[in-house]
Amino acid sequence: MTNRYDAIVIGGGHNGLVTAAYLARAGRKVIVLERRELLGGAAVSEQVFPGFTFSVFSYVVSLLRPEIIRDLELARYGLQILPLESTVTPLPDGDYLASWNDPDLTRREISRHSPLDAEAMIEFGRLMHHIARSVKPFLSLMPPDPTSLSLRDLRGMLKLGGHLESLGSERFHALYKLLTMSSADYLDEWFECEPLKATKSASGIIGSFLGPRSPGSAYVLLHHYMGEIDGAFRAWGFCKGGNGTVSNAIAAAARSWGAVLRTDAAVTQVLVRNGRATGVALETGEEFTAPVVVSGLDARRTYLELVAEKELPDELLEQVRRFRFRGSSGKVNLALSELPDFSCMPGIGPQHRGAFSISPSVDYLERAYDDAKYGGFSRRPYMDIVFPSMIDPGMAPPGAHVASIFVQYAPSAIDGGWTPARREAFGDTVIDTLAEYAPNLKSAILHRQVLTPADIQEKIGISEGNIFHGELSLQQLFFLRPAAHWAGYRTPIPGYYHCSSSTHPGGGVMGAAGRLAARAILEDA
Amino acid sequence: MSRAYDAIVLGAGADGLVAATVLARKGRRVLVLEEAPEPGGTLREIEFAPGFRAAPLAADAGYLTRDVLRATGLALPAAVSVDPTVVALGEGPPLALLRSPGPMAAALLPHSAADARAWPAFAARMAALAGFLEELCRRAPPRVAGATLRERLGLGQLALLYRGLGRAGMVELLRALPMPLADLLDDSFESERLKGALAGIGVMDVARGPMAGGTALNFLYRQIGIAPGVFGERLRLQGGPQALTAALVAAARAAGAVIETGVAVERLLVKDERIAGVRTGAGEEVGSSIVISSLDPWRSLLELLGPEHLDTEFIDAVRNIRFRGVSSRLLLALDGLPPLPEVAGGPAGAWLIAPSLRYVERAADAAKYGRCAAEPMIKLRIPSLWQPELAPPGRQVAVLHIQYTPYALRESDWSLARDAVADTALARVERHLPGFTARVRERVLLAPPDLESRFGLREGALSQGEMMLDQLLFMRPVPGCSRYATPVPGLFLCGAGTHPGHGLAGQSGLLAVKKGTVPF
Amino acid sequence: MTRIPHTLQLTPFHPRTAPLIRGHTWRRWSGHAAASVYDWTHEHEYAAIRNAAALLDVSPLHKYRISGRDATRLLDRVVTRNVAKAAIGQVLYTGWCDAAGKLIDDGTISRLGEQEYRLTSAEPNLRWLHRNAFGLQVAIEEVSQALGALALQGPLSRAVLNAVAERPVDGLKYFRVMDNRIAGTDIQVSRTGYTGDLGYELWIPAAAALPVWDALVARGADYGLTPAGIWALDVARIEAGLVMLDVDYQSAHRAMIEAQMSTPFELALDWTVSFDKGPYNGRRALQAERERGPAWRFVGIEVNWDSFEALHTTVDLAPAVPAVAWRASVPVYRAGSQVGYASSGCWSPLLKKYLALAHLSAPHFDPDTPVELEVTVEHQRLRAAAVVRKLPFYDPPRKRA
Repeated sequence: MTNRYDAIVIGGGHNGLVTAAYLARAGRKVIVLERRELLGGAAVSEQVFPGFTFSVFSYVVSLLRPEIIRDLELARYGLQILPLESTVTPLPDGDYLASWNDPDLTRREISRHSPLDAEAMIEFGRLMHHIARSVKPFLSLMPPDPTSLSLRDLRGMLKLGGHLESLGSERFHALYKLLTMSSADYLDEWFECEPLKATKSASGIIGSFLGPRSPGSAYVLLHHYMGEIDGAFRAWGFCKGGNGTVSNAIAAAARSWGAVLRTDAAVTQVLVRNGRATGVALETGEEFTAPVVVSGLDARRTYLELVAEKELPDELLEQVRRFRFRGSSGKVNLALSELPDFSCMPGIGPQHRGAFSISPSVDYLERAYDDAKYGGFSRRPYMDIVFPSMIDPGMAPPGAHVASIFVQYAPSAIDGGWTPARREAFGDTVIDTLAEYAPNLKSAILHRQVLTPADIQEKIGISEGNIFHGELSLQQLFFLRPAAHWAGYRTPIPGYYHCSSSTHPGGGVMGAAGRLAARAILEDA
Repeated sequence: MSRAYDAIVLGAGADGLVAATVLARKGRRVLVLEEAPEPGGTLREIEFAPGFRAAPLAADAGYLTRDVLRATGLALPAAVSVDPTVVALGEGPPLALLRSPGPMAAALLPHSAADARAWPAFAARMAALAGFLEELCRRAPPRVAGATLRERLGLGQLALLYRGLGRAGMVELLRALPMPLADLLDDSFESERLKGALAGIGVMDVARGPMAGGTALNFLYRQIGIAPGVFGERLRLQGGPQALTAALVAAARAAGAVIETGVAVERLLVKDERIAGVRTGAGEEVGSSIVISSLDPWRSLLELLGPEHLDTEFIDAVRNIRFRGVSSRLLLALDGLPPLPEVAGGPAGAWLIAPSLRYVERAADAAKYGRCAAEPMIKLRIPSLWQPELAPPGRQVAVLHIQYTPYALRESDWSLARDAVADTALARVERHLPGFTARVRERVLLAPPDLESRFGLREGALSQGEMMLDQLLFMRPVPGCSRYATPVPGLFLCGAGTHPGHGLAGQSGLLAVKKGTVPF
Repeated sequence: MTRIPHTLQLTPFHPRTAPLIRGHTWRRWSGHAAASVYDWTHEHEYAAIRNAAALLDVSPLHKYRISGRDATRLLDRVVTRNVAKAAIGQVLYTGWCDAAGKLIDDGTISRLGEQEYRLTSAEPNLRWLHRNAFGLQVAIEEVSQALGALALQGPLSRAVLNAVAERPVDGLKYFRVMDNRIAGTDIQVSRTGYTGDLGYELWIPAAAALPVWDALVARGADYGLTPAGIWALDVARIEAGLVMLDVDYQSAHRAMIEAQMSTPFELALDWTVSFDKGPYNGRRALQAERERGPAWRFVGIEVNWDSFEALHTTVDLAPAVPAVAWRASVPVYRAGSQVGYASSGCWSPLLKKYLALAHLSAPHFDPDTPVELEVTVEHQRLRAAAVVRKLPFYDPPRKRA
């Protein structure tokens, strides 16, 4: 029978591909089954409009683990990360706040707004560097179960405790504050300049259903600093060819070790016999068998859709039902005849090689959240805009451009549900808001694609369109991700594993979950 | 120095009095200095209109751990049990929060059959989690690095207690600590009235709405020491909160402590980088090598001690403490009992206007932008129902807790806002209790700045430091300085600003003095 | 209009210095364009410092004006010297520390009035000053841009100033500051510098920078006045044994780990640490360190020429000394084990010696201790014999006279 494998990976997202690649590298016969016609999940490049290529969903590379880049030799398979050099925050009064890749230039720019903040940035960066170093080991650590007395878990907990203690009280307290505080409060301790605080705290709310003033939003501030410390300097950047290149490079690595990657293959069910996973069934009725089945889908689908409830303990089902997705972000992709000319910084220049952040004040972001909290999309949304064609000219026809606009908040549970009309109204809001800062925007738009959380769910399957496969809030991290006792990539069904961003360490194009899942699978073999 | 003591305690609230009592019982000569004309701190009653008295900040006496009772030998008056504890008002019939789970489930039936079913388990779970928190509160906070063997053993003991929660309980606690209260309630209930009421109880005096992360912990913290299933009420003593003050004062005096009220301390005296005593506002210098301040950390460290004795990094940490008072009290002299809704049981402990999660959250939104809520959350209590002596015969006293009314207003200032806040609150109450305002003869609004000036609460915050996860335990009052000692030898802190925070009367005073913490 | 800066920050003297630079030898100094050297080589510029007069644009220094009721209290809280004891018109060189007694920066404080000071520093310190000013009535104004600064250094610098300035500077004592006028502009002149020679620093309103420069250059020609860059300065300051932030030590606010930080004692700045004043940042830690003695010490190293030459002779080369001072971490050994590291070094054209500034651990830092300095000869790491010297290497009497 040709449908027999050592391992089946459900879903060809980047984590599924990473798991497959590592398993294949270890000599396993692996097949990846992807529902869509292309691999990559949320990390895909598609020619949505002729001649215009988009990183349709995720659009920057932030935390892709350097060990994965090395292990899978991704550079050999086409991965090239280009620098995303600056962030410009246009302000309502016509001014702007920018940070550049040069420290002197950034210091000078921030000094314009606040000399104190310009100095604070340096010490803040140092602290973040330290904390990022303290957190780094967690990213490649299989979360132990704190409620278990098994030798493995006790050893894991002890290791964890030892690590925390080794940080010393100062760094431990700093880390603890970052985990528990709101980004607004945390930044208030450091800075006075509103747009600076807002732009920094924006990174704390991405993908979560929290406002910058809600405790728990500070932690993600760290992410920006993570990439700089672990041997892959400038890991924060833009992937040449769009984020699909990341997936394609991983896929190529997997293929090189013999993995079979099949698209247009929608798995509807994990086959369980005598309490063990034995394979999967496709929509078409086709079946594949393997002693190891790995789900790269989010926790809700992994546990509530692919397998029958009776195969799982109630406490796990209960935890998964309570696992919060609440997608809160949308995306607008534009094909442009010319680049937007921002009135705060007229002309086309180096600023277009970086990001524009519509985050003039913490209140602005908080109000954007208030709208979403009560069931609407933000009337004045937060936006992160990049022009990939400025960095990689191949993304658009010569002279034309593409823009990628990440937008928050767009709640998955919008009052009345997402309808085409509401989607377009959301898209109009985004364009109208942005056009206030770049008046030529509207006339430059050739095509636009608007993606709401509902669209994200429909196109790539992620529950409630949450880009992180479940909120990255403290109560859903580490040994609680996606559920206590089951945070170690294993499931209660022997042979069934979970490698998606719903597991530790969570979302972003990081690949860490996929790698750790592969490790768990190989450990069990 | 005109006179000298072994120790001087600043503030005659519960924490200061307990610290003084415990020290005096160890044979030390202790002086308690209180700025207000009477002892009691946040338990204190004031006469707000001729013949009308109320304790604006104390609906009850909080909770006394067994350790405090044992260490002070406190003789408490009998407790009063109120049932229902809270009646939640809204459109439609009110919802009474009853003490026993059975009747409570029955009371919930008209609101939601599912919630009625979920109630007993919810009540039990919350009680179990609060039980673990109580154990945390009974101990000085663990130290992260450099813990002694004894502290490590203590941590081990906590770990065992944690295990005692059982598998589900352990998970629940880990999940609940950083969670928004709204999520915790949504996990169990569907009735907006119930969720609104529990949310209101949970975020009382907290500058956040129930949808903010960490508020589940505020809710659980308030459950410490309460019987399972009881929400919104702690220890209520015959004679009111003042009775606790009287008992504490009696215990302190019996132990030999000297209590002087109406004495403001202006400065701590430092000699050779050690505490040497205090100087009062009247200029008297009283010697002591130990000062234990139950005032808030900012006042104690930055105003009374002075920044010159502290490292810049430490000063920054103190300056970073968030206080954020958000509630006002409206004291009302009533010419008779207002019309109140009929509910089963006796008169309610309080009436709550927090009809839904969104209502409370919207009220909190205003505070984020430095405004008073247009539709505030309100808790009404009528203490004269139990303490008739608070009002002249036939009259009543009501206290409205109004939230959210932030200390720092952005577009107005409190000299202009007071009347508007009082009017808004009364209009709200009138909507739910028609005929109420007609009973009001006099009203006095205590906004956060008034609470600051009259009760010495910085920014009007009862907590003396917002009780969020990042300002609790080993982070309270500032990271690395949570075990009551300060960088200046001889100066110790207790009070709500230190672990375990507001609500556990006297516990911080006890922990501050407890063996090893104050060197005796 | 676009405000993205097109160049590094320019000093007020840039219109005059830019045409002088012959080899495009700019470097960054605190975000400013600063000349490494104007001429083809820095030999003549260095010679001017020791032989005639050199003019250096030191405007990139950070400058703060501190005034108000508690100005003295603020400074005394921040720095290790006793500021209250300084007379009006006096200038103090001092460092400042964090709570652990680790040096944050060093610079000068000019007492301009009863409660008015100017603080200079290498790195920005506005935030640190603000943090320390909590509870004090004091105004802290950054005047880095508003104030240009020139260092006029060398044995003839006094003569140049007397020729140009309205008031003679003969009476201006070492580490004193006075008001003066040049080219119709009110300026201040302090008898300070970073060369260890007779010299002055001129504090000039940015708007009047050019006339002052022009006047100095015009009259200075008679005295051999030469604009000089950082390379020349670097040699002079090593000879003078003066410590440099980011070269010889790292700020406690920037260092990544404690081992990268230094205390004033470790940098041999004992004389700047006062214990006869009230509490200040780091006092407790410094007191303890004074009692136990520093673990490290900043010292001079003099390379034994014969040894150095012999290492070259074996590969058939003449000894090559670096023309430009180096800034790097170079191991120092004693009896085979590493006992420290040098952080700067140069050939002293004046003393005709190969010198280095080094951090040595106890007990290897006493003067005359024989050590070895790593040298690279024809790609090989070798060790040249050297000896520990007390700093400064060069200390002419005219500096203070």
